Amino acid sequence: MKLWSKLRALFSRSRLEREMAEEMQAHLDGLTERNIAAGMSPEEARYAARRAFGGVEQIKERARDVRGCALVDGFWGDLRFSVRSFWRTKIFSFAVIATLALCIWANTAVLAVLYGLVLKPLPFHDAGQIVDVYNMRPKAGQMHQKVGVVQYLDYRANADLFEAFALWSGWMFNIGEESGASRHVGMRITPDYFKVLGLQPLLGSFFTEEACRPGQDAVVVLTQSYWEKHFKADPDIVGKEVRLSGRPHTIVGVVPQRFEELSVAPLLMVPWVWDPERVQPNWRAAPMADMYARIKPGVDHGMARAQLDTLEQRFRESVADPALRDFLASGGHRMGLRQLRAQQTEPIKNGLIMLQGGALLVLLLGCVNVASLMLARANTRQAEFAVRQALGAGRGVLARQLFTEAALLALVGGAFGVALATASLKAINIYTDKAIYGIPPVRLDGSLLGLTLVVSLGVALLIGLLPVLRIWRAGSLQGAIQSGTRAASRNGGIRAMSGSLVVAQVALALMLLIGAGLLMRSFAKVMAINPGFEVSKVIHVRAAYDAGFNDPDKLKVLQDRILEKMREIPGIESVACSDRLPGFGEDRPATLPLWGTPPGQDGVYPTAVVMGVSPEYFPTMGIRLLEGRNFTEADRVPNARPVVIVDRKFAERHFQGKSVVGQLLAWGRPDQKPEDAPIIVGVAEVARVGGLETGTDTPYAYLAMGTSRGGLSVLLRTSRAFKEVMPVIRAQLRRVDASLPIYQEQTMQMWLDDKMAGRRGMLWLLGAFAGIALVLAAVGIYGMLAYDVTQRTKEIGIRGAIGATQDQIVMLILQQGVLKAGFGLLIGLAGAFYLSRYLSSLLYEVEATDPLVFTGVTLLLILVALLASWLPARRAAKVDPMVALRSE
Amino acid sequence: MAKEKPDLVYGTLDMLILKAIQLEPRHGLGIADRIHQMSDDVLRVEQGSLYPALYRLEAQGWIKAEEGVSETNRKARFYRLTAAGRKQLDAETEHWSRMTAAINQVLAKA
Repeated sequence: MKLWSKLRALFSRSRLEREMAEEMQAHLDGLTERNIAAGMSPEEARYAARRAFGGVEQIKERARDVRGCALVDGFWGDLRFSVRSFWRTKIFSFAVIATLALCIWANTAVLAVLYGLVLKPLPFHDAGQIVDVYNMRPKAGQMHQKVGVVQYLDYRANADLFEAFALWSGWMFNIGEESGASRHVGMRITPDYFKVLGLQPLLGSFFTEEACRPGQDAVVVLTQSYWEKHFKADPDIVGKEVRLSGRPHTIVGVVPQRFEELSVAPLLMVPWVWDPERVQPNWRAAPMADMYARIKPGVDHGMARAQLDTLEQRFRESVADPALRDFLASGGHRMGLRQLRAQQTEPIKNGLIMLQGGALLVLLLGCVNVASLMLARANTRQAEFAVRQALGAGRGVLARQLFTEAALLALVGGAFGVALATASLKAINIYTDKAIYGIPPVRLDGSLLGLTLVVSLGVALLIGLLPVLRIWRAGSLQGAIQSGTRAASRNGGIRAMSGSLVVAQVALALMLLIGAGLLMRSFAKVMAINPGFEVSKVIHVRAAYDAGFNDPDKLKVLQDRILEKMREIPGIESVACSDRLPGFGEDRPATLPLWGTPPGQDGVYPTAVVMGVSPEYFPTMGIRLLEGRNFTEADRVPNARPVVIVDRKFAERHFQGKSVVGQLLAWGRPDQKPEDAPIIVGVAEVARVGGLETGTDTPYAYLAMGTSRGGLSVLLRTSRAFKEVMPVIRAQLRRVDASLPIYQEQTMQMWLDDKMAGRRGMLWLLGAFAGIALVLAAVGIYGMLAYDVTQRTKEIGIRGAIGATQDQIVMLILQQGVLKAGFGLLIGLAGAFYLSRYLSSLLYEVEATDPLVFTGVTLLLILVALLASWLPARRAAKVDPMVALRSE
Repeated sequence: MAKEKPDLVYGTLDMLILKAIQLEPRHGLGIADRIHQMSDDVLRVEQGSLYPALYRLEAQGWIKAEEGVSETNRKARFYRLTAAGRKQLDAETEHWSRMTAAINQVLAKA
């Protein structure tokens, strides 16, 4: 009750003031009326009432004390006083606020990313039971393969530990019929997709089973954002028609916004179509789509997976034909199952947790620095505190003042930190989108801001605590008045404390720097990988066709016209095309069984990422042919004998020492004759087109491409600048067909850089943290010694007076700094040695205990420690003994 | 708190206020009048002490202020005794009578 009324007083001060004034006025009026009734004149009556009542303002002041305004006024007073005193010491305040802002920025930004990408639960009912289901062939190195429609139908009918299964796959479409058609991302889904997620339509309905049959599939469900943006949130949208890739579709429903927490990439969904008449059991191993499933509540994920494996075993033993059985057994086939989102975030999860650890270390370091600054400040204010105490301020009042100051600094620092974090999230979101496709942008929401506020207040407690303890323990500060500020210099406790703070700072900075150093070396190693092709001179553009281009002859004409128009552009050295490039979308390694040879040593067929390319592909990309011949135009005509070029990795892996050219592949029908079988005609250098470090285990195999149905990747080799030549390319493509959507236009350099976005982002952040930590440690050492030197001026003066040389005095101070730093380095090295192993998943060909990084960083810190100690040491050496002794 | 004027025994104002509104809610002036009247014109409440005391009692939760209209048709704040206030009044009354009894005894013996 008491607390409540005081709080109320705090918030409704003006109302209480008004009430109080009214009430007292009413009292006065009452007295006045009574006096008038007793026969006084009105004026007399008023004076008499005033006299009887007493001084209104004094009474109000006493009433305010009682009502709790005293506490509020006291707090305001403290705050005003704090602001004034910080304003006087601008450099100190700036240093503290900047330190705290940087530290809080680091934590808020990383936490926002960690929460947004990894920790935040999906907003679906019982989301923990929603899983991603996939095929695994661990012996063939395939840990995540798509699922086929046969498996889907089998599971749907027989896996009773699951509530629902759904297939989905990405689908690119064009919208708009005439010119300026644009290419967008959508999804194909089976009807139970939203049942798995547990979503109800916002408008209309989702797909029926019938919609997934050929001929009845011209229906579409829109995402809420697309509906709002493109259709202006038309409430009568259901039933309307929209043309997608040249075909009219009926809009049947809108999916609520919550879906977009899963992925912001797709704009709409169309049915995933299969023809039940034509589904054959032996398609089972054909990977077609991704599968999501919802496990029944309370059922363990392991048990659910075991049930799928049992179904697979039943299929292998009783349904599969021998070749398929052989294929499945050779890869050690089994099913995999993983909670939704876990799959996507796994690669960056450890890195983010590590960054968060780094950010917390930086925060700790910052607090340590600020705490020692505050302590130093409190020491120089001993006289002030003593005077205030002498004038009647209790220890509580002084402590409150110190805490108010700490809270003010921490909150201002926190506010700047949050502002910085908000600004940097814009940049971070560019990276997150590249690291995880379709992930919603990371935002600072209310709970994160609340947490930041709590952290700031925690920081205030931390940095305010030391000075308050100092005041509290000192009890009476009367002594300080007599001896001035130097009373504290003989306090060994303070020196020991700031000394151990410095040790901790150096240790933490060393650990962060070693982490950043390891990442930097990995980055350099990745950058030094030879991509095996000309990165800087090749531009990639992809053109999509509308559906309906099923006639190979027409396609051939279109393809040739595109290439021809590209060749016309001045400054283009050569033009090539391919059906797809590895790394754009998912790379699914295909099996390449060799003619007449059993599966490899581990019972595994050779695998490779296979793509179709035109003969100009190798010269255009700058990939060297090591052996054999290039493709010719004759290889591209329909019904020509299939010819294959494999890369060096494939050749080394499967034909050690033997000649590869002329080897046959056992593709196609079992009754195929050797003279028709696909033949390897050449070996190309390894080209890491799919990314410098991604999928480097899988070799590439190239086929001579006739026509490509889905779309065409055009590669142009030129020395002209991308920005300058791109509009020309676009205009030329428009000339071929104005409705041709163009996308994924970038140089191969930009393409590879995008693939490194995650690594680059991680390096930037950890590097920034390590940089902050280094500066904090340097400032910490400098601050400790500089403070020490000012406190020991007298002692240094005496030493000088009795004959110590300047060098000796420099050594005296230097030694102190270097000793502390050395001790910190030892602890830091031990810590880094133990902790760096958690980094190993992010390292590339660098040991977690890389000696170069460890020694390099240690030397750097020694240098910084020397510099930071040398500055105050030199000042100590310049102390004039006479001046020092007289200053007392 | 500042010292009370000698016409009121120190520390008794709170108790007297509670007593004054025991039967019915009263406004500030009314409470002062009531104490004056109940003491047969002996006790006079210093106005300067009255309001701080009222706010203190309100903060303690012993009395509660309500908007009302005075006998002269003015808007006024009326103070009412709460259940907690009633208990407090009983406790203070009992304490007071023990104290005065004890003091009387001392005086009688001397």
